[in-house]
Parts: sequence; structure tokens; C-alpha cells
Amino acid sequence: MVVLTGYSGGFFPKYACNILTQVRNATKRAAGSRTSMKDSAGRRLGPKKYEGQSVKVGEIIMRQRGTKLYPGENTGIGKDHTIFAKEPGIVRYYIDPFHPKRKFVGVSLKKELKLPLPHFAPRVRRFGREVLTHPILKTEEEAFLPRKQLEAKDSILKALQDRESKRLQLSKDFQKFFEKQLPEFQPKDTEMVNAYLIRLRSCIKNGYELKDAQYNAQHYLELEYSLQSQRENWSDKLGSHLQVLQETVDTLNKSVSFDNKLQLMKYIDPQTKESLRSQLLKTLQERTENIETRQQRNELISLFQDACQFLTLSEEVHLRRQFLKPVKPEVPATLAPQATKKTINIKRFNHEKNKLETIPRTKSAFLSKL
Amino acid sequence: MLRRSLSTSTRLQGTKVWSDLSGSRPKSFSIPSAQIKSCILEGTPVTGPPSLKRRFNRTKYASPEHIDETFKLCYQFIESKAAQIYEKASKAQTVEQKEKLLAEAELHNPEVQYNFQYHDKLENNPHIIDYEQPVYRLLGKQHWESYGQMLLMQRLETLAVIPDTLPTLAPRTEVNIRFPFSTGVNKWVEPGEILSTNATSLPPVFKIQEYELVDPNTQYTILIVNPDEPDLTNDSFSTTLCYGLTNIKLSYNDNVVDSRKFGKTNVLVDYLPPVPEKNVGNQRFAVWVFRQRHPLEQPSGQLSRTNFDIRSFAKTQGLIPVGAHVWRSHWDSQVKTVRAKYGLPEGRIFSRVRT
Amino acid sequence: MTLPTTITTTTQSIKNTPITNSLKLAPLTLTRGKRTKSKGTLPPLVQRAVTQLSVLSASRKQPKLLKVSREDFIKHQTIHHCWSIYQKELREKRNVQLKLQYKSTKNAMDILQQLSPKMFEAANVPEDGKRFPMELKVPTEFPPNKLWNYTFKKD
Repeated sequence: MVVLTGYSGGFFPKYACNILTQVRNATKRAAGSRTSMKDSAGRRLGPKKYEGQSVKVGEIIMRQRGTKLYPGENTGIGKDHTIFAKEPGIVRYYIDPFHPKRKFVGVSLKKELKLPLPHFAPRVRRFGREVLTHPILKTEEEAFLPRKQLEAKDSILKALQDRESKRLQLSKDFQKFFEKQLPEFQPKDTEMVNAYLIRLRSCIKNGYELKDAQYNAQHYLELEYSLQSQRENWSDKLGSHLQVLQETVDTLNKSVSFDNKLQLMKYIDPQTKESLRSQLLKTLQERTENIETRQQRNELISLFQDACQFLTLSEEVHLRRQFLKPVKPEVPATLAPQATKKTINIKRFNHEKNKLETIPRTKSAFLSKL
Repeated sequence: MLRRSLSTSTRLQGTKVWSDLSGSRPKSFSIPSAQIKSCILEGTPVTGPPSLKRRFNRTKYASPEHIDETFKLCYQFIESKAAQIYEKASKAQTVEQKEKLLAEAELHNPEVQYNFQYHDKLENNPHIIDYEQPVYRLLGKQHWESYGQMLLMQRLETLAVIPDTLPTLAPRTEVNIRFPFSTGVNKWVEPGEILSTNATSLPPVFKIQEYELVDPNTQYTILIVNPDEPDLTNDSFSTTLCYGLTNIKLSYNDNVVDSRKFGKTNVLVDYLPPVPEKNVGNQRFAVWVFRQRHPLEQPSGQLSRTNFDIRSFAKTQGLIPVGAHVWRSHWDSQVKTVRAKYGLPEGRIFSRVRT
Repeated sequence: MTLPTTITTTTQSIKNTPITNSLKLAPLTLTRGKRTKSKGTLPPLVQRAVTQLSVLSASRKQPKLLKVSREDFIKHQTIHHCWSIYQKELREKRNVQLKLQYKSTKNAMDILQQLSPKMFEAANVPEDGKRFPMELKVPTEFPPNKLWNYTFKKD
């Protein structure tokens, strides 16, 4: 900006002050037409294949700006809206009553087929793969796995092996249980017993109700046996085999069951369970009122030893929480009159009084300190 | 204003249809837990709402202001309206009208709403959600239509199960499937899910939930078809029938179709598990549930599995498609064992690249 | 703990909360050109806190979710249903009333047309340009006690 003062010549009045603006650029713009550089060569748009022409897979049918035509049957659309063939066939330009404002290009798989195909008729599809007959190619292709599956394969096989060994261990445990607890139980087929019990256990673990779990496990074995009989051509003996299964399952359901930790145990009928439960509750209520010694505490804990057999897991946890409280509430009975060496002193900040307080509590207030 | 209209209407009606203590009402119309029931109907106790399990949360919780008084007022108002609807229902001409009115009368009952909203709708306990009652059927239908039905139709359309198997479907029954026998896993299959061939190696169990008023003697046919079996002569695909059950009777609450529900006479075709060959891609397994117009006769010859035309079968037997489901399978390492288990020949191996 | 059900409410809670100590104690520095009197309902410091809070996360701009126990949620729903039923009935009643009014007006006009077509036409003359017709005034039995508010001032 240049301010001119005291300029007295020309037509300016005497004390006038005038401001001129001036822009100095680094370069001077060349003169010329503004739009002359903007024209580009033609993009060669338009249809590349016409109605009735045959196309191969991937051939371009139409180049366009925007979707002047939409991709119809067996065609795809590129990022610049180029329409290409996905299947070999005959190009068809058509309109679809489902989209009355659109024009479509499609590829019909057969010469006589007109597009669009009837809306509710099954689609016309091409399979387009060959059966491999060459033995080397065949084995190669059979062994081929995608990279992710190949990487996961080892860990999956290991997990399967682990599961199998666990099941083997389980069946050994079952046999030990039968030898110890139920020596009179002599099954005809121990494998059948193991298979049934393992499946029953997993069904219960997966959240099926007991009745459904028993049915599922039995029906699983029935199906397996019938398939096996067909495979090994002993369909005539299948009936007797299923009879054996039915008997085994019935005796097992009457003699054993699983506790809430999924361990095998002797069967307890619901009425006995109910009476055991009420008995436990009664003794717990009697004994919890004054636990003073370690022995009393251990006795109380030992009451829960067999509880898993007649209580559900949630009931058991609930009762444990109710009767085996690690810290008793701060009622006068559990508060000591004075802080001594024999009491447990808790330091706590009292926000109302704004100072640190010491709360002496008897040892009986803490289950672990007895 | 509401209060005034309420007092006049209750004086006119004076009936307590919901809080009827004579015991004539079904058990499913009241909340099983006495604590929660009294909390809703008689007001929140000082100890806090019983649905909150921890005492800390209960004491910390504060109900919205005046909710109990307002609720009592509103309860009386809606109850009086329900009494009017019950009266109308007793004079209803047709069964459909009566069903509609009975559902309407109980629809806003807070106990019914509590039972339905906070309990399992799929594996329902008939003492809590009883689908024999029109109101629960109405609620169940609304719940299904809000998500499950839309999901099913989306999957059927995007996977082109319609029109590849049947032309279209007007969904009327909810169909759920699971495979409890093959692996013991307790899971309902989502429509369109890709399942391993090991999981599907033994037949599925169907749950067919009717929400409409249907004749209790209606029988059902269930078909599983695979429209993706390679057909090399035509260089196309053909449909295979994988499983067929017929003449199955159901009720509103007891509707899980497993071998406890049917015998050998009900089986049209035994179960053929999905065993896709290598490189055929995903195969769809469409489950179709039909209502029958009349009991189906066991076909004289063995129904042919291959090149099965489900459209003509449904037409000739007069079957009405009411529900569907779909799952997918592709080749995996278990196909070989499943094939061996069923005594099927070893599968072909196709080229990886399409020509 | 079971998850409490939620109900949406409007974001009034922030406005209604009392000003906390920290906000009160913040030093009030006077800067030139800064507006000291608030135009809205909130004092500037609180407004600033609200703005800052709203910038913190998008969820604060959402309607506040009220956590409600299952029982209270059912009660809330019942109250809502009741209110909607009541409103529906009111609406229906008014519609019936309107229909009856229209019917009787039409009836009267029909009779008028039969009795004297001249008067009917006079009654139906279009009154274009008349912004406040006499019929707009709510009919009263007596003229008002105070006929005109002479001291009326527009504020």
C-alpha cells in the first residue's frame, strides 16, 4: 500500500488522502484462452458387444460413465461402471418389470433363452467345473488346503487328540467307579456303557435338561448302531442290539447319574434328594450361629462335601455364600470392646468425622482367622 | 380427567378380570415368582425391587417418582377396558374374532408382559409362556416378525433358496433346527449358517412353532432338499432330496420334531447327510415345512432322491408351504469319514478353477 | 446383577443439576469484549461446563438413558399403554362429536335450501377478504364487564 500525502498536482483536492492497491506476483500469467487446455481425447465409450453376440468370461460388454445400463443376469460391474460377462453366453439387452426405470445388459447361457427370465422360476445356472481323472492331479487337488486351513490343521488335530485322550481317561474313571461302587453292575457291552455315559455327560454339560440329555445320548447310539449295521451287513441283528442298548440305558439311568461337578455318582431319587437338602439346610441353620473354633468351621465345611450330589450348582453356591461368609457383618456381637492383641483391628477412614478410626473385631468374625 | 373417567368406568363395570382370585384363570397369566408379582401389583417393597439380585444394587436403586400410584390407577383403567373386551368376546360370532378379542384383552396385562419379555420364548415353559393362549401367540408372532422372520426371508432371498427350490414363501410358522445327536452341541442354527459336515452327520431336530389359529389335527410334512448337486451332463445343478418326514402332528407347546414324535411310517426318505464334493463350493440345504390338506400316503415305490422336483411334489400332494430354514455346507476334512459312515462312494474331485 | 431395562428421557438432567463447588470456585477473570450477562437460562460458567462435557463424548449428546428395574419397566409400559388407550378414546369421542356437528349443520342447510333458496344463497355467499368474520368470535351470553382495555400496551 502506498499512501500519498501532500500531493498537490492534478485534480486531487489539497488534503485528500488516497489509497492505491497494487499486487506484485512472482510470475506473470501468460495470456491465452482459459479453456483451450481442457479438452481430452474421446474415451471410446459405448457398447462393445451387441444384442445376440456371444461372449466369453470376462469380456467387456459396455463402457459407460455412470450406470446408463445396469448389470443384469450373469454380468458384473467394475469401479468405472464397465459391464463385463461373468459367464459365457449370448448378450441380451433388456428391461426388467421389477425395475421399470432401468435398462439392463445380461448374458443368457443358452441361445434360445430370452431375458429377463421368469421371476419365480428356478435360476438357470452353469456348473462349469470338470471332474479330475488324472491320478496325480487328483491326489494333489485332494490334499490341497487354503493357507489358513493348512496353518490351523496341526492345532486342530492336536485338540482332537487331546479330546480323545480325555474321553479315554473318562471311560477309565467310569470303569473304576463301577468296580468300586457298583460291583454288582455287569454290563454286556462296556464300550456301549462308556459311549452312552460320555455323551450323556457332554449333553448335560451343554445345558440340555436331564430327560433330553438321556434321550439325545440314547438316540445318538441308536443311529450310530443302525449305520454300523448297514455298513457291516448285520441289519438282521440290529433289533437285538438295540434291545441290549435299551436295557443298558434303562439300568444306567436307574443306577447312576452325574453330580453338579459332572462326576459319576450313584443314583439318588428326587425324594431322597429333597430330604437330604432339607436336612442339610436344617443343620446349617443350627450350626452357623456360633462358630468359634477351627474345628467347628471345618465341620461346617465338611457338610458341603457331598452336597454336589443332591444340590444344583447354583443352589450349592448360594448356600455356601449364605452360611460360609468369610467376614461377618459389623454387628455388636462381632465387635470387640477394646483393641487388644487378640482382636483384629481394622483401620478405616471415617469421612463424616474426617479422621482415621480403628475398629476392633473379634477373631470369630473372620472365617479364615479362626 | 383420566381419574374421573376411570372412576365412572369402574363403577359401571366393577369387574376385576385380571386380578381374579377364583383360580379360573390359566397359570401362565400370572407371574410365577410371588415376590415380583407383589412388587409389580402392590408397589415396590422398602428393600427394593426383587429382580435385582445383589442387595447393594437393591438399596442403591431408586424407582421413578410416583410410579406405583400411577401404575395402580392405570392398571384399574386397562383392567376395566379388558373386562369390556372379554364381554365382547363372549358374544363373538366367529372363532377368529374370538381369538383376536381374547388376545387383545390380555395384551396389556403387566403380568403377561412380564412373563413374555423376561422368559425364554423359543424353549418355552408352558407354565410361563403358554402358546395355547391367544395372547402369547400374538406376542410370539410380533416378536418373531420383529426379527426372526425378516432374517429368514433375507437369507432365503439372498441365498436364492427362493426361487431355486420353491417359487416363494409366505412365512406363517417359525421353524428352528438344531443337531443334538451328531455332536451333542446345544445350539439353534441361524438361517444360512455354514455348518461343518461333522455337525450335520446325523439328522436334525425341528421346532415348528405355529402362531396362527390352526386345526389341531393338521399334519405337517418336512422336506430337506439340496438344489446344488452338480449335474455334469447338463453342466448345471440338480436337486437332491435329503430327508423327508410326513404326517407329523404338532401342538402349540409340544412341537419339537424328533424320533419321539414319529415312527418309521412317517419317514418318506431316510436322512442323507451333506457330503459336498471337493471344489463344488457351498451347497444350500433348504428345509421346507408344509401344512397338509389331507394325510399323505406312503409312496408305493421308493421316492427317488436324485432329480427331485419339490415344486411338482408339493403340487401333486396338495402341500402348503408355511415355513422354511436353510443352512450351508462345503467340503471339509470330515466329509471322508461321514461318507464312510454312511457307506457312500468316495466323492469326485472337481477342478479348482471354473472353465 | 440383572441388566436393568432402559428408557429414554430428554436431556434436562444436566440443566437441573446444581452448580458444583468447583464450578463456583473457579476464578472469574474479566476480559474485554466478553459477554458477562448470559442470554439463556444458564450462567456462562455452567454453560461452559456443559459445552465441554458435550464435546467429551458423543454419547452425552444422546437422550439420557434411564436405568430402570424390570418391574418398573413393566409398570412404565403399562402406564404408557393406559395413556395411549385413554388418548385414543378421547380422539374417537371428539371425531364422533365433529361428525355429528357436521351432519346437523348440513341438515339445517338442506332444510334452508328447501324452504328459501334465496336465504340459502345469502348464507353461502363467499366472504373473500374478510379476515376476522363475526363467526370467529366465541359466542357469549353477555357482553364482557370490561369492554375495552384502554391501557393495553404491547411489551
